Amino acid sequence: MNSFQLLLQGFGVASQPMNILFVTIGGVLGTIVGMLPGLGPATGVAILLPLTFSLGPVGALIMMCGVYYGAMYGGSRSSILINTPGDGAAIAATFDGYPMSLQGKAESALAMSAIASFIGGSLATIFIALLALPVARFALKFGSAEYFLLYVFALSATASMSDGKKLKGFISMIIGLMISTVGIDPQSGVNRFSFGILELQGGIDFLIVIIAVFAFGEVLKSFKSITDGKKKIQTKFGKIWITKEEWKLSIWPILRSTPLGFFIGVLPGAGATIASLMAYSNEKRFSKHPEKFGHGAIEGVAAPESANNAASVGALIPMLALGVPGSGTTAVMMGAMLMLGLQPGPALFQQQSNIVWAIIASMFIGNVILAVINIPLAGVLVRILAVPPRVLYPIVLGLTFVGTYAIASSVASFYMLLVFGIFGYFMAKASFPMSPFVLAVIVGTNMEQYFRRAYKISNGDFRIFASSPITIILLVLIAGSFLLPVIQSTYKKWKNQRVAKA
Amino acid sequence: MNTSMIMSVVVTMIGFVYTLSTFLLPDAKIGIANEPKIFPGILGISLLVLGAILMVQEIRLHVQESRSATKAKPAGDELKNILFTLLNGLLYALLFERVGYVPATFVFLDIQLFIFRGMKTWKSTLLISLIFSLVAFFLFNSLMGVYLPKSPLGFV
Repeated sequence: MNSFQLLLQGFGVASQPMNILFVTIGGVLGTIVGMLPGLGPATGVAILLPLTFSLGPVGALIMMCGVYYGAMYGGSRSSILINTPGDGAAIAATFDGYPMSLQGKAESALAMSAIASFIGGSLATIFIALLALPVARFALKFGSAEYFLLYVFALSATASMSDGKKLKGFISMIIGLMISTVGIDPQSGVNRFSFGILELQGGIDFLIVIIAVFAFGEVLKSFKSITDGKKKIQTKFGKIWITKEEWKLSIWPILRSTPLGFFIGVLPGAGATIASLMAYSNEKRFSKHPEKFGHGAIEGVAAPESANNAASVGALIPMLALGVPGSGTTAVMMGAMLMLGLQPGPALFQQQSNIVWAIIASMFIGNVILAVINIPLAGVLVRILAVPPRVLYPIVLGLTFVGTYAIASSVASFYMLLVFGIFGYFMAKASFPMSPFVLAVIVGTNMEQYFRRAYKISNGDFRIFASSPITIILLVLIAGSFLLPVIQSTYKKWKNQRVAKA
Repeated sequence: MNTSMIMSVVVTMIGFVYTLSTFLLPDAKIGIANEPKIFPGILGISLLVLGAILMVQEIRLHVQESRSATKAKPAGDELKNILFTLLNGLLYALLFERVGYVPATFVFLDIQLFIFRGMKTWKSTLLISLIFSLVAFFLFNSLMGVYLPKSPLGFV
């Protein structure tokens, strides 16, 4: 069957009334979580995961996709209205979205953000439908050595993308990998790093680490901003829509930014934040009136909003087709899939293709539903922002605990939540990027298994990691991701010195 | 000493303890004897090296900053609130299976809301805590089929 037929089949599953209901519930909840400052798609998926426990794998994943998408939509609501991005990917929406709100054009900004997100997300869904199958088929050529190197590349690329704190990115990544090695080794039965604690012998559940770092850690961080006072929020709006001129100004930026965002999303490590920032600066460069950017230019809302949604869809390709997540959020999505007993990767496309294509189709449906929810209901949804964070954060905290208990069914997990929550808080406070950490915790076990399998096949000969054209290409890419930061900083120093001399 | 510097020491220490523990791991009884140690060994040594580099960087930065005499803002309230939240979490863990989900969550949320909002709004705090614990119990236990411990009263 070709991609098109499979996609049609997927639509058949995704458009069942129950699945539409799941994606809608996920979308609304995701939008609400995404609107909360600091809580983005990764946190949304992590804390809302327990809600899907009683659903089957298809329903659960469709709902998770709704949450993922909804949080992307929600993140930009708070960017536009209160200048507080829900997460990194929504930062670019503050540049022109908030000035538009100040000028009394919040309606246009909100509508444009939803329209651009819709177009970006929908086109990207078409790209994913075209690309996912060839990528998965290509990945069938991969052996253990190739997979191990692919993981190394995804991790090192994510770590080296951490702007200005690359060393800390790599440290984050290694600590994440270390956490994945705790517990009884399934291959040899050796008890590793559990230090005599019974609860650690079964390993540390990555979902608990994610909830601790993203949700619990965020609440701890909020203590700082919460004491800084809160901003006034506009909750009454006129008609949320855009004018013809605004549409004319924005359509080309949207169409340019969508493929850009998508391909940045596919690359490991880059993700929606970089995609939206690149799309913004690109449009500023293309514009005939670059001086308008930063002062309420509608293109400045349209471009990054389409790019970040396209990137978030693009990021699902390496996760679904290769089993290698390229960002914190897709890592959490992969965690959700693993918990449901699904191992993302090429085998998933062969054995359970109905699930994969139902997810892809549900993204398209989710996009339509979210646009419908977000345009007419924006006024109702933003009222959530009027609920004081002082009430919302304790509730988020309550949800993290119940979520953790639902996963582990043991109070011991609460102690892990507290330990990793405080660890995550201090890591973030010391500017350690958390995406490489989370990514590493999730892929660590698989990565080690592939490493050991390759090591065994070659009878302990490390040359297996440079034995095929694919491994050599991957080694070059890995070397590039390590060397790029060094070259960049040397170039910067050299440039600065030249400027200083001049 | 700022947080970044302390964390650089902490991660180097983690690297040291982890590397040491790796060398102390027993050999595998089946297959290649040192197989369970190789991957952790690479990780431990890498963290030790990167942690040491970071520590040197942080010390250099610290020297530069102390020359320019900039001081970090004190964050007393923030740390105090975090400490209270952690203690509250510990209390919650102790109560959870002993008194059941609803009463434990009610107490936990009450304390947490007091930490965030102060004592003035105690009426709404009590109400929010009660509603959340009951709704969450109903949602997870009855609707989603997630097991949550019941209170000695039996019905919630």
